[in-house]
Amino acid sequence: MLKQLRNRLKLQRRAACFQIMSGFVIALAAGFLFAHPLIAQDDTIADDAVNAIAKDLYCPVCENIPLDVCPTQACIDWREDIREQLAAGITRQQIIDSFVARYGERVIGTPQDPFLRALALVTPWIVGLIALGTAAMTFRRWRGASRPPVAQPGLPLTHTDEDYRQRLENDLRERR
Amino acid sequence: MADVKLPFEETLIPPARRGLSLGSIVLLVGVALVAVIFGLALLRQNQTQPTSGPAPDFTLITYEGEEIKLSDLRGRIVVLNFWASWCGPCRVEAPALQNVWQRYQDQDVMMLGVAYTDTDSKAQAFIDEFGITYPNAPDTGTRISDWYNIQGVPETFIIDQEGNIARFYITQVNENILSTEIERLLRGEF
Amino acid sequence: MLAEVGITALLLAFGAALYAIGAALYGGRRHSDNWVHSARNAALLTFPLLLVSAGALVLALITEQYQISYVWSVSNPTTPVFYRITALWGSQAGSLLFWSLLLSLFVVLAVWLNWRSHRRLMPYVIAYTMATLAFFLGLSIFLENPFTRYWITPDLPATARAIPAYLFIPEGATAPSYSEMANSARGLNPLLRHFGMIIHPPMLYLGFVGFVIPFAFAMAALASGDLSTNWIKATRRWTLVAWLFLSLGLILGGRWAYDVLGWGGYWGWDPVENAAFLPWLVGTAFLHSVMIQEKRGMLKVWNMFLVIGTFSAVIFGTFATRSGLIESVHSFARSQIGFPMFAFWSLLTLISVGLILWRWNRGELKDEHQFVNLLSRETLFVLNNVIFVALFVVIFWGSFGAPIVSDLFLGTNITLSTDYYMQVTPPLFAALFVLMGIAPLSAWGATSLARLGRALLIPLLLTLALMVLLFVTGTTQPVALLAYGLVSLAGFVALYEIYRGAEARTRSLHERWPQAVLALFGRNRRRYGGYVVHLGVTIIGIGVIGSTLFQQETQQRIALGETLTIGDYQLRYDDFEEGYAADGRYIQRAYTTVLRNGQPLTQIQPRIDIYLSAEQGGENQTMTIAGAHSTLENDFYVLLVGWEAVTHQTATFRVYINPLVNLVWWGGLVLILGTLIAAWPAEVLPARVREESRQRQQAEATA
Repeated sequence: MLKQLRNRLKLQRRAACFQIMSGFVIALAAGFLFAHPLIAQDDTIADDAVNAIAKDLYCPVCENIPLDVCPTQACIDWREDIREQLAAGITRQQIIDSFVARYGERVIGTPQDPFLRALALVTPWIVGLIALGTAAMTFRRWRGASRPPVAQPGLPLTHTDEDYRQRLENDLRERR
Repeated sequence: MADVKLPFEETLIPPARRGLSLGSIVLLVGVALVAVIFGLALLRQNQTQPTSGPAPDFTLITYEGEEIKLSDLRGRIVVLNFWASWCGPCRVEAPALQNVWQRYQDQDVMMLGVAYTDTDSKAQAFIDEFGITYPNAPDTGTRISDWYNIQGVPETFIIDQEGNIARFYITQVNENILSTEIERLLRGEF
Repeated sequence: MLAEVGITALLLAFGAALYAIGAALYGGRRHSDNWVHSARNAALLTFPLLLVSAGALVLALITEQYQISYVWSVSNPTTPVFYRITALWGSQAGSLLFWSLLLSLFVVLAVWLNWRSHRRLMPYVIAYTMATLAFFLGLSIFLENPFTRYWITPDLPATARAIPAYLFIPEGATAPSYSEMANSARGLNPLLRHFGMIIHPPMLYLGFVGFVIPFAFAMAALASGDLSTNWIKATRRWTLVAWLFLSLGLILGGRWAYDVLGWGGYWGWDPVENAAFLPWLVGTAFLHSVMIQEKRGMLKVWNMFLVIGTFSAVIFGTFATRSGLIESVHSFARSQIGFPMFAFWSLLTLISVGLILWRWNRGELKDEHQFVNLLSRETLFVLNNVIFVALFVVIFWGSFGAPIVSDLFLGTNITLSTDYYMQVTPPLFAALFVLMGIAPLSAWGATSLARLGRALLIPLLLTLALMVLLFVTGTTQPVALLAYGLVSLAGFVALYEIYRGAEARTRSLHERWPQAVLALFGRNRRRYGGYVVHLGVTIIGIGVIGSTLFQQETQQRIALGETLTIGDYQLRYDDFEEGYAADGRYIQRAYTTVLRNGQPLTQIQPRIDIYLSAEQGGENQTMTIAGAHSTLENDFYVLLVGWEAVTHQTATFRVYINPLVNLVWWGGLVLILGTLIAAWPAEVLPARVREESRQRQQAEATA
C-alpha cells in the first residue's frame, strides 16, 4: 500500500520535475504543454556551435544522454547558457571548465581533474597488461614444456592445390 | 607438543596438495572484493534522503555572494529547500515558501534555497519572478544534493535547533505544513 | 480467475524446480536412476507450468483485467491488442516471468536432447539450471509478483489516494470498479511501441538465458569430476545458439535506439548497453578458445573461467539494469530485487570460481598437449582472448568500475562516456581485426612465417587495392584509410579462405563451383560458418567506421519554404501539421523535402508524438520520431527540434548524415546467417529415418 502510494507521489513529482527513468519521456512543465516554443535566442551563435560543445557534456537530469540531444528543460537551459557564454567570447575549454566547476566532474565524458582522469584512463591498461603478462607466461610454459618435435623435413613451402586439399580434408576429419 | 621434532621431517613426500595455492587465494579474495564493492555501491544507491539525525554540513555561497555555513546556524530552525527554475511544482510552492519566510524571519528561523543543476541566469530570473528574499545559492559541484541524496526537486528538509533533521518532504510543501512544523519546533517540541 | 491460475502455476513451477534440485543432487550422489529420472521429470514440468502462468498473464492483458496490478501498469483501454501481448515484457514483473519462461524452455530442450549422451553430467546440470530458475521464480513470487490485484478493504480510509494491491484476497475485500481502474490505467511506455522493442527483449533474454546451458554443463563437469571435453561437446551448439540470440538482441537494440531515441546514433556506450555487450565479449572469447581445448586439450582452466565469466556477466548485467545500480534510458525503475539479485550474482560467481580453483589445485585440469610454436594458431587465439578480456575490462571499468569507485571512495560522481570509450577501445578493436585476418591462415602447433605470408598475399593485395580506390575517391584521412584497411583485410581473408577451399575442390575433384562451395560448407559447417560470421563482423565494422568517422550533422532554424544545406544535400521545410490521432496521441509533424544537388529525392516527415497521461496531472510522454531517407550509401536522418508556436512560420531541424550506417544492419544479417550455418545440426533427421531413405535410394538405383 505504501509502495503504491509512494509510486503515485513519485509519479506526480516526476510529472513536473524530471524524468530519470527514460530519457525521452520528458516532463512538460505547465505552459509548455503542446509546443516547443523557440526561445528568443541570440542568432549570432549558431546551434551547431552550441551543440559542438554540448556534445561533450552530460546534464545530471538526463543520465548518460549527451547534452546536445537531451530534450529536458534543464538541458535547454544549459544549452542557452553555452550560447550566452559563446556570445560573450568565452572559449570552449573555459566553458567546459565553468560547467565542471558549477556542477561537478559528472558533467563531462572523461573527468577533467588530473587524478580522476588518470584513474579512469590508466587503470584498464594496467589490468590489460597483467592479462598480457599472464598470457606471455602461458606461452613460456608451453614452449618450455618439451622439446619441439623434429621438424618435418621437406614440408614444401609452396604447395599444390591437391596438397592443400589434402591438408584441409585432414583438418576437417580431425575436427569431427 | 610444539617442541617435538620429527626426525624424518625432511624426507616426507608432500601428499597430494590440499587447500589452495597462493595465486588461487589471491584470485578468490579479488573476486570477493569486487563483490563487496558492488554490494557497497548498491547500498549507496539505495540510500534515501536522511529523515533524522545530524544534517550533513555544507557551506553555500549565495547568489548575493554571502557565505553561509549550515553548522553556524545552530540554535535556529533551518528550512532547506532544493529547487530548480525548470521544475513545475517548485513554481507552485515558491510563494508559499516566501510567505513562510516573511512570517518567521524575525524569529529563530532560517530559510535556505539550493538550486539544483540550474543556470545562474535562470535561477536569478526565478528568484526575481517570485520576489524571493531568503538566501538562495547554487549547488556548486552538485555536492549538497548528493549528501542529502535528493532524488528530484522540490524536496524540503527542516533542521531543528540542534542541527538534526526534523522533517523531510519529498513533495511540494505549502504554508500550512511548514508553519505547523516550525511552530512545533519553536515551542521546543522535538 | 486468471490471477489464481497464474499464481498457482507459478507456485507449482517453483515447487517443481526446488524438488528437482533436491532429487537431482540426491540421485546423483546415490547413483539412483529413479531419483535422477524423477528430477528430470520435475524439471521438464516447469516449462508447461510457466507457459500456463505467462499465458494467464497474456490473457489477462488481452481481456483488460485492470484489477491485476501488472495489467493496470502496462496497458490501458487504448492499447492495441498487439502491444497488449508484448506488454508481457513491458515492465519488471512481467519481464521477469517471461525471462523464467525462456530459461525453462532452454533447460527443457537441453535436458531432453542431451539426456542419453551425457547421463553422468545430467543430475548436476538439472541442479544448477533449476537453482537458477528457482531463484528467478522466487523473485517473481515474493518480490515482483505480476498477479497481485487491487482490493478495497473495509479499513481502507476514504481519503486514500491509491488502492493497495494484494496477492491473496484480504478478508471482506471488494474489487474496485472496473471503469475506475480502466480509466486510471497507465498504458504502455511509448518507447516500447516499436518493432525493435517487440523482438529486441525476447532475443536478448534468449541470449542471456541461453548461456545457462554451457554454464550448467561446465559446473556439472567440475562437480562430477568428468573433466574430459564431454561438457564442451554437449554445449558447443547451445553456446552458439545463445551467442546468436545475444548478437541479434544487441543489433536490434541498436536499431531501436537509432529509430526511437532520436540522437542519431545506434550505440551510446550507455551502461545498460554495455551490460549486454559484456557477456557477448566473454562469450565470443569462449567460442574461440574452446577450439583449442577441443583440438589440443589445452586451456582447460581458462575455458572454465570464460564460460563462468559469461554467465556471471549475464547475471551481473541483469542485476545492474534491474536493480537501479545504474540509471539509464534503458534501465528498469529502481526496485527491491536489487539485494537478492546481488546475493545471487556474488554467490554464483564465488562458488563457481572456488570450484574451478579446487579442481585445478587438485591437478585435475592439467593441459594435455604442451608444446606450441610462438607463431601458431594457439598463440593467436590466446592473443585474441587477451584482447577480448582487455575490452571487457575497459568497458566494465568505464561503465561500473570507475564511477562506483570514484563515488564510494573519492566522494565524486563521474561519468565515463563516449569520449572515454573512443580513447580506449579503438586500438583494441583494431587488434582484434588484425587477428581476425591472420589467425584463420595459421596452422595448429606451428606455422612458418613464409607460409603465412604466402597465404596472406592475395587478401593483402586486395586490401591495398581497396585502400587505393578509397584514396582516389576522396577518403584521404589516414586514420579512416587504416581502419577500413584493417577491417576489410579480415573480410578478404574470410572470402579468400572460402575461395581457396572451393578452388582446390574444383581442381582436384572436378566439381563445379556452386557444388564445390556447397560441399565445402557441408564438410565443415563450423569452420565456414565461422568465416561467414567474420565476414558479417567485417561489414558491421565498415558500417561503424563510416558512420562514426564521417557523420555530419547540423541544427538550423529555417522558415517555411526555405532550405538548409548539409554536405551536398538540402532539406526544405514545406509544411506543418498537428492534431490528435485516433489512438489519443497528439502528433506534431513537419513536412520536408530532401534534395541532393538541387534535385528532389524524397519527402520525409519528422514528428513528435505526445502520449497524454490518463491521470490528472500525470506525466505526458513525448517521443521524437526521426524521419529518415535510407540508402546503402547513407542515411539522411532528420529530427524535429522546435518550431514557432501557432504560426509554424519557422522550425528547427537537426539533420544527420550517417554514411554506411545500413551496413551495420546488413552485416548483422550476414552474421546471423553464418552463426546458423555453424550451429546447424549435421544430421537433421533421426538416424532411423536416414537409414530408411538410404536403403530406398539404393533400391531405386539398382532397379
